[in-house]
Amino acid sequence: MEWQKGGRAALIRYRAISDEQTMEYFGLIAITPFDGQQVFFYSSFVQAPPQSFARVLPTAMRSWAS
Amino acid sequence: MRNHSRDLPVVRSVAVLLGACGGASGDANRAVPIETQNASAAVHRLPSGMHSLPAGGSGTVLTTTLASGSVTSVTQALVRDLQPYFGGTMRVLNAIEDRSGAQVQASFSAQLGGVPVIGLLAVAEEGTWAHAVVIFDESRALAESLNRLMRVARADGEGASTASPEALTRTTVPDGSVNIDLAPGWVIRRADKGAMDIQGQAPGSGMSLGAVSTVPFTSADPAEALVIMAQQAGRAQL
Repeated sequence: MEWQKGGRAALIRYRAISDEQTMEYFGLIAITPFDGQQVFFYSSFVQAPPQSFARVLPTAMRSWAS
Repeated sequence: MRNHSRDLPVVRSVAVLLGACGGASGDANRAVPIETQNASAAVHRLPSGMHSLPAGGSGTVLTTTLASGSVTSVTQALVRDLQPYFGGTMRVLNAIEDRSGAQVQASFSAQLGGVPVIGLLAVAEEGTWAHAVVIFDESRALAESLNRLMRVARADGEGASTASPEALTRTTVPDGSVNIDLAPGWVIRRADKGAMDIQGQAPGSGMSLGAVSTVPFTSADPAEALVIMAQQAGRAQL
């Protein structure tokens, strides 16, 4: 989707593995170029282990939307 | 900001779908439980993101939440993900997609540790999410355990979708820059000019909101940028 000042943003559902631990994520990621060599990187995300993600997300989204 | 809670999963729809399967009555619970949490778990490792519910007897109930494509493609991906768990023996016997294209139900056979099992799987699409429930038991036992296993799946779905939402408390971040409504047990760990890191009540859960940084790359793709940032932060295998 379009983002402010010519940037682009996406709602991304993803999973990351670090130190053999899997975490689930749902985030808003946006980037806006500003000098041809760098970008502003914006992120907001919710994270939780796989076994609790579906239960955590609704509560987290209510907070996020507040 | 748009309220994304409208896109959140409704697990109950999967449970209702499973409830439509029917099944034999009775629950003698005499078969040997198919373990998923014992030493054999190293061999029969569940796909990432999938977890096993307490089945209360023989058989297994697995659930997971997936990013949704078509329910058919999600079902195919689910079967692919489950193949290593079943040692490559999973065979879909039949599959039915409802007219709306929002739900798929399938039966399958497989072997787990050399023991023949049969089961059902259901995938229901809800907005940008798809929920899957997989039920199976030893071939000779499922007729008796199916009703109980479906009740387990249904109770899990109903618990997730009908539980009263927790009351949120308006909280001002320590630097006073912004307010946010938080559920009990959620704690602001860091806040700076509207950005904040919040620790959730469940172990490992949390939120990071409003973080902005400048980074030296020129990609115009948020997903690509996310991968690069995650790799730089040590979150490999994104």
